[in-house]
Amino acid sequence: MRDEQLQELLGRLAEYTAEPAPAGLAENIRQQIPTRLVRHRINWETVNIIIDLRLNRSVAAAIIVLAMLLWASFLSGWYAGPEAVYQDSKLLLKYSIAGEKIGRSEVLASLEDFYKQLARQGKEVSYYGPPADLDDRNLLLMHWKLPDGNYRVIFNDLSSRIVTPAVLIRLQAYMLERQMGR
Amino acid sequence: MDKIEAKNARSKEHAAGSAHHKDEQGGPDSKGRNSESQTDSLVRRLRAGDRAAAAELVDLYYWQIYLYMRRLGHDRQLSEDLTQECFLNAWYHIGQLKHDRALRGWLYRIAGNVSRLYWRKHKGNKAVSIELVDAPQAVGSNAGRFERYEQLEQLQNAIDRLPAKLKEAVILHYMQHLTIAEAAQAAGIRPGTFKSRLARALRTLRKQLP
Repeated sequence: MRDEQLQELLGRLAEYTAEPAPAGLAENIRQQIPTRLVRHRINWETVNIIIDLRLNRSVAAAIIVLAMLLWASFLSGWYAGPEAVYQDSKLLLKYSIAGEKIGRSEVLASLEDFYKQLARQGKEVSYYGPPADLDDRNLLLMHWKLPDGNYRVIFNDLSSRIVTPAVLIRLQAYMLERQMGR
Repeated sequence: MDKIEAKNARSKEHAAGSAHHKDEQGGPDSKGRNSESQTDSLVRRLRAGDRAAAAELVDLYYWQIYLYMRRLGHDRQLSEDLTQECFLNAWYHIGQLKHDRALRGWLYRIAGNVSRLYWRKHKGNKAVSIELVDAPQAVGSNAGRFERYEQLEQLQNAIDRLPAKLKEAVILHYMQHLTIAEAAQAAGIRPGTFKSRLARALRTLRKQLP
């Protein structure tokens, strides 16, 4: 077969295989256009996650701050300074959206991602998942070991503390007791 | 190879003329209608974060990308999903769209990567050949049409048997009607390399067809 014939045939094949696109495909894609098309300058995965979740700006900001603090504390044990910011972001998260539980679920999702990230790096980290009792502030959501041998813990009320191994054991024992129904 | 391009351009013009309805859906043949200035403007607006421009990009290219996925061997449902994924990736990498008029090549590059990633993750899955949409209804009622259909089917089978890179080159240039520069960008190689890849693909196809 000559080149010309082959190219003509290829052109024809293009026409014969031009099947219509499924109805509604364009609309589906259009609906996924993010509200903020050009991303934040910080090129972090966190930002992607937040855009994915299609949160409003205040909530997105709160989660970004939270994620930044978690990372910073993990990398250097740094915490004292941003305590206020952390608490503010938590409050912002709670009150900037209609339901507090919605914000909580987003934070839990971020925590879980953070946990996976740490686990992948081979860090000593535990994620307990959301507890049944949302009102018990002493239950743990997650903890991980800091370079100085202490542990950073995230409580059920989304507050965070650095505790010694002994305190961590007591907190875990308390959780166990609660699970056993005592 | 320049001769190949010139001849192919002629066949593309013919295809565009005979399929005006495709343009309404942003089909593969509509690319010739987009003037460079329109593309420049679209790129500028996209880079500025204009959501209307993003919707315009969808309208212009969703069918092309869907067909590209189908021609790469994905089934209908998967092609739909991968097309959506391609555009999602496009939104997130819009900042990387730097060169004016590189829009189509850039989008196809993303689409190709999405497809490759899928195949890498699902190595066991087999490619699905896209059906010819204008198949003869009754054998013998139109002998010429049937013969042409057979010929096209043979060609398609031959394309399916090509190594992935050669298949991609043929699809990008001859079926998606990208220029050599655009197709090379989509394949992530230099235009010269793309031309030689295309020549190798044509040589292989010629050998396989009667």
